[in-house]
Amino acid sequence: MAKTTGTATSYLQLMTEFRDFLTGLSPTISMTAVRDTSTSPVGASSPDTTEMIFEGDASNGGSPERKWYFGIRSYQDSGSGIFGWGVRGYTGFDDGSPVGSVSFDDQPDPSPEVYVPLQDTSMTYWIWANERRVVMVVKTGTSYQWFHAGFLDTFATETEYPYPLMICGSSFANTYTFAANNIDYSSMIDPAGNSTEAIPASATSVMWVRFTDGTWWPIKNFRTSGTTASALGDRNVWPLASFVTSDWPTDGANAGAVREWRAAFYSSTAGGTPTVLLAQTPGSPDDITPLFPLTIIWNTPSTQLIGEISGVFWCSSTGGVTSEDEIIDNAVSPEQKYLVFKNVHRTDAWQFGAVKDE
Amino acid sequence: MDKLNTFLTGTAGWTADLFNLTTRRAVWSKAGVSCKVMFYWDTNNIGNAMIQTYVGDVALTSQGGAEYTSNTITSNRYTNMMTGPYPSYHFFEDDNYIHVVVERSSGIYRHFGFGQMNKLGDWVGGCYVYSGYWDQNASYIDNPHSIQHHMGLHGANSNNSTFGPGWHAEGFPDTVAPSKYFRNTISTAANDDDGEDINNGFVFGYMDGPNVQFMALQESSLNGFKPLMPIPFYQWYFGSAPDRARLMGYVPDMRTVNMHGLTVGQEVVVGADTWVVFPVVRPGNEGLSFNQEQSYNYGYAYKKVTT
Repeated sequence: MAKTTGTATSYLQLMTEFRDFLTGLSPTISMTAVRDTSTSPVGASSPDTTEMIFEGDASNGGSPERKWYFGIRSYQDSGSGIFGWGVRGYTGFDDGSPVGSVSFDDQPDPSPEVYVPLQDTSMTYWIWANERRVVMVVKTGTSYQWFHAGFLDTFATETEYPYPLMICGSSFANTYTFAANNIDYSSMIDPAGNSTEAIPASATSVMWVRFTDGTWWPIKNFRTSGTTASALGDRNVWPLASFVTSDWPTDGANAGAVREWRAAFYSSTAGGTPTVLLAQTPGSPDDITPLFPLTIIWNTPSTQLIGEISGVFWCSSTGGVTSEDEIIDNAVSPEQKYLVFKNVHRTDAWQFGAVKDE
Repeated sequence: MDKLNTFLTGTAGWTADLFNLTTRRAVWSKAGVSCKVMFYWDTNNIGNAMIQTYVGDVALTSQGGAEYTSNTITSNRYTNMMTGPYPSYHFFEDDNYIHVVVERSSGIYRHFGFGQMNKLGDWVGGCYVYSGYWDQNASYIDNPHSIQHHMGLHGANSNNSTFGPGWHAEGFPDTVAPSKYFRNTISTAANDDDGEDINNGFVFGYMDGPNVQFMALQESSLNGFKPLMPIPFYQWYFGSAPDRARLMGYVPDMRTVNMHGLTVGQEVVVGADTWVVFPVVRPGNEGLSFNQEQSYNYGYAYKKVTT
């Protein structure tokens, strides 16, 4: 496990900081930049598009012990104040012949693209990496942008689930500025898309998981409906997940007394009032902020748990916790620290997450 | 009860402050468990409650700091339909808890127990106690969603919540001091025998609460992995707007489980641990009304600890 934090002067410089950190972790963590156009842009969409494709090697990081791939590329519309990264996951890397002839979009089995809106000015960032995944949070103005690429902690062996790659940004669209406050501008704590479809070909989502059938499936808890977040119950992230309640009776669940986490601790309207706020538990030396692992839940073909997002948790800010606060789990020895951040632009108590700080 | 006492005071290491088959009373305690637990029974029902101090072979309300104000079993938390004989029973214990599963008649189960929760934080208390009441009214008996039932660590909201699981906590935020006890959501104000508040809480088992969605979880389509979900204790304070909840801890070695694909008494191995699953009362099909106890696929899993 490795961590770095610092300040980047632009969304492009953040790419090089990101690259230098990851590729500098060898031999502890094996990460190679198999494509890096930072000094020789090849992007077609913009003269200053920079592409980087990374090859991770999880051979020493437990199941699945294999190489994994993801790419980032810059985008910008300076006239609209839009700068950021696009992110895709892959199952391999093909540089082509001549070198560089296989595009960012045409790498092996590419995921749909997700986006991390950023700035063309100074930003503070935090990056955590292990053999199996990379998590990054970037402070942009008063918002916090989230990024994930890598394997889930699945409830399956490598044979059963060989390539559980998950990519996540902060937005499903590259049209949002870092300062936008759209409801569907929401990351892995409560992932969103602007469509209702679960079918990959037409779906939008800020999070995608490659499943055993080779399909990249969208993971999203909600979409925008007017000014509210309209829950979607197909493939979700718990605890703010919505189950397909029509499945419940035959599954033996309690359809008559639904008080799922989302219904209790969440409001579909920014600034709204949930049924209940989760407050801190009395503790020493500090009161305790309970953490709940972000967990992927599938409703098709049956309601089941797929895996956890390694080291990332949902938490409540009730009790005074706020972004960049360090909270401690003193139930373990040595104490484990976590850093708290809000979900992009949201300030509601139920819109916070924490990253295991190691 | 005799077998339970023998088990508890044997390798389980509990102390029987009282065990009298004639007066039908027992009080058990153990270092590390924040309360003493009293059992009192008749030929059909078994009541249990927390007390603070043992006074003697006297009724519940004559003990020190009793959880209830009545000595009537059926007015308090109790396990019903326990006339017997029982085809089977199972005691699960480790460290500071005892969880009991009784097959009260062929294929029909009851769950009761007590112990010390795995607390979050450093507040005073942590003892919990629960029983297994299943309403026999024809309108409810084959409907496990009925809030009339209070089986194990269930989470049912309101209605006879005096029957629900209880736990010990003192000096907790959003409580009026002095008070000693929490109970699964009580719809009306209640007091213990000292006149102190019984505080509102939720133990999120199979019936209600934010964790009830886990009861929809089936086995993994990849490998048959069956999630066994921890059962948390929460404070649920209604005196603020919105309500305010606090996670207090988890019951040790007891989980909820969707028994779809599992058989009664089946052992489920998760890593180094073996769990044994039982229905809440009896497996039954959704929507089937036959005026007998049934609980769909709701189940509890108990960790099998052998030494």
